[in-house]
Amino acid sequence: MRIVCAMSGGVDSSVAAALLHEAGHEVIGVHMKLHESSGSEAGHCCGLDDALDARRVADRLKIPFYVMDLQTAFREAVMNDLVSQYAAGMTPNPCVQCNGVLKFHVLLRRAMSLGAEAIATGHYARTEDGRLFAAADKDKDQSYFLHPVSAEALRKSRFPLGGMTKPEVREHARRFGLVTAEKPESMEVCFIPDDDHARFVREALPELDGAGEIVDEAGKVLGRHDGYFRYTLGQRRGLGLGGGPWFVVAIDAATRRVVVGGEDRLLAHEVEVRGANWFQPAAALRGRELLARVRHRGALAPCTLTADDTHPGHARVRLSAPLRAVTPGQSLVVYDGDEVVFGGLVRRASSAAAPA
Amino acid sequence: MMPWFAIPANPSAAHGLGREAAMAVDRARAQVGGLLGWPAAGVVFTSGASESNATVMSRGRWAVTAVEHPSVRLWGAVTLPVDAQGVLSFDALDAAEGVDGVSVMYGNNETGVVQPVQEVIQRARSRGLRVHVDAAQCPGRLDLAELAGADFVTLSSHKIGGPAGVGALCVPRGGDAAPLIRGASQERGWRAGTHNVLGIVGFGAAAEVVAGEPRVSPALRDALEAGLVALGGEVASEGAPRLPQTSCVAFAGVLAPDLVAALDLAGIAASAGSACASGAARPSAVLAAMGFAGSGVRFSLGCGTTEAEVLAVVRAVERCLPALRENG
Repeated sequence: MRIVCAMSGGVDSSVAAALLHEAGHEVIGVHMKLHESSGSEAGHCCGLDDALDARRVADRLKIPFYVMDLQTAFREAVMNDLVSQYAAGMTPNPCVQCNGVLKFHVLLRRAMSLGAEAIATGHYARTEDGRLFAAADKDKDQSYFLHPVSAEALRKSRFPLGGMTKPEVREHARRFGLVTAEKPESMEVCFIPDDDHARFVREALPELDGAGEIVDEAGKVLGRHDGYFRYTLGQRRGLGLGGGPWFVVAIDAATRRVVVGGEDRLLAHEVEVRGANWFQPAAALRGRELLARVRHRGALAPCTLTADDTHPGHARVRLSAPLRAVTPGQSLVVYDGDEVVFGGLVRRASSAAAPA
Repeated sequence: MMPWFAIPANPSAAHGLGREAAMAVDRARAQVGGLLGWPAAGVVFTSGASESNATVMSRGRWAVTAVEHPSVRLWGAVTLPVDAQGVLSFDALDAAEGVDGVSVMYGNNETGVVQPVQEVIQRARSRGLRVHVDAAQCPGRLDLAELAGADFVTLSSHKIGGPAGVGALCVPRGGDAAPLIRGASQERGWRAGTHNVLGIVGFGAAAEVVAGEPRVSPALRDALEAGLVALGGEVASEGAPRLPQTSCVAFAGVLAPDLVAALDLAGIAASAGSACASGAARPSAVLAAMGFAGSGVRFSLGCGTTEAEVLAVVRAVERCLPALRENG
């Protein structure tokens, strides 16, 4: 089978390509050029070292290799989205957006245009017949980040590492003699290598930079902040307030206010979700006890799930045990055992359960 | 070239091997000068066309056409627009103010379009401007007598079948050397540094071969284009005089880098835009300057290209197009 493997230049996607090649598939390596690297001068190529590592692996495997320039799509779908979500007082996860739009839509289409039947990535997740499952290695599981991927796209996707642990993947990389075998893990968002999201947002949208009030839930002004996009729900440090302990419980972009309260105010019982992706029909899941996760490797909380019939793409998730700091812009993913049955982005969370 | 793979001799050395190397470089200089019918003494060997261009253009203020190679375009103080066929405007050339010289590409690397270079030389010189011509694409394909009167001409080895990584700047009337690389006085002061003997000897041999052969005919290029146009292709600069070996074709709804990849998978080497170091194709500034909306794929024919190969390319494009169009 002709398969396009997205090769970032890291060890995971290198091994994914090598395993598929070993299994007899016609593997085509593609490195997605997504942005100019911050370390290089303007006009120079992005992530040259990573692209070169991917190229070296492809050469080692003797597979064709291409670099696709997806900078325009990435800027529009991921970088601009990140800024506008921060501007709206939310805390986005750009990797989720990149999976949903860039990897499993734009790249998938371009792979199909090269006559491929599927794409492969180095994600730690499993898929079968359009369904999505957590990886065997629960510490590495990345199914949480894949929730926007459609069942149709999953049918054309392969995750060769879904059944492996990281040490096993590195062992394969050594066995194949790949230059990426000992490459360290990158933990940051790829286009913000210093992990300073506030700097990135401020440079993209300077008008956001500006002081505002820190208030309690009754509206009493307790202090000042220097840009609400620097705060995230549940944050305790860096508030500079007396008394407390205070936690960020809401961010109101319209008034530029950061609202603080006691820790108990962070407990969410009900969550409104947008961008809902149903892996099974809503009716089939209605009333069933499922498990919700609101952060990568976060705790699983029992929940029930209801589609919002008046707003397409919206849903309500009721948590029978509350979760702390369910943050607007972050992902809420619902599992039935190992299987991802639903995913979306948090619109808002409320601490008191609304009447049924 | 063969003997020089094994001999690490410096042509500037006084010993016998050094003298042999110096004579080999000297023969190559005559061979390259012979391409233009110009004296060998005016040939300066460089690491390639980009260095040749920079050597000339890093001094003074230059007017450049909008379809120059990036290594020329970046030095332009004034950019001369081109028409929809990619041919420069004489009006803009005559109106260019505040420049010391004009740089114009004889045959374009992306579209193959040929500029009226002799008229450019005459108009520019009548105003006292110096003229630089990037003719890297042209030996064996165009009449190099058209370059008479130019002050500087850039040539490239690998474009005529020689080894990559060597080029020449031809300076028929000499002038003040302005070396980018300073040190000793190799290349009459135009470029310091030990010669790339192996590359230069190969360049000379390629020049001699090209000079002795009939010029490439556009018949196969025309057959290729007829086949691609029948598949819905649009040829850039179709109505202008062009190099006989270069064809830039766009297909509506198809991204050039994807067609290039699909053809590569079929064993056919084509290119799109200009490549950057990571290998990603960038949108072509040349096509943008002519207002050509399509995403152009460049097909280059060699002197050994056959009719059967041209037909195979057309058939391969035909096989690739449905999936490209469906997912474009």
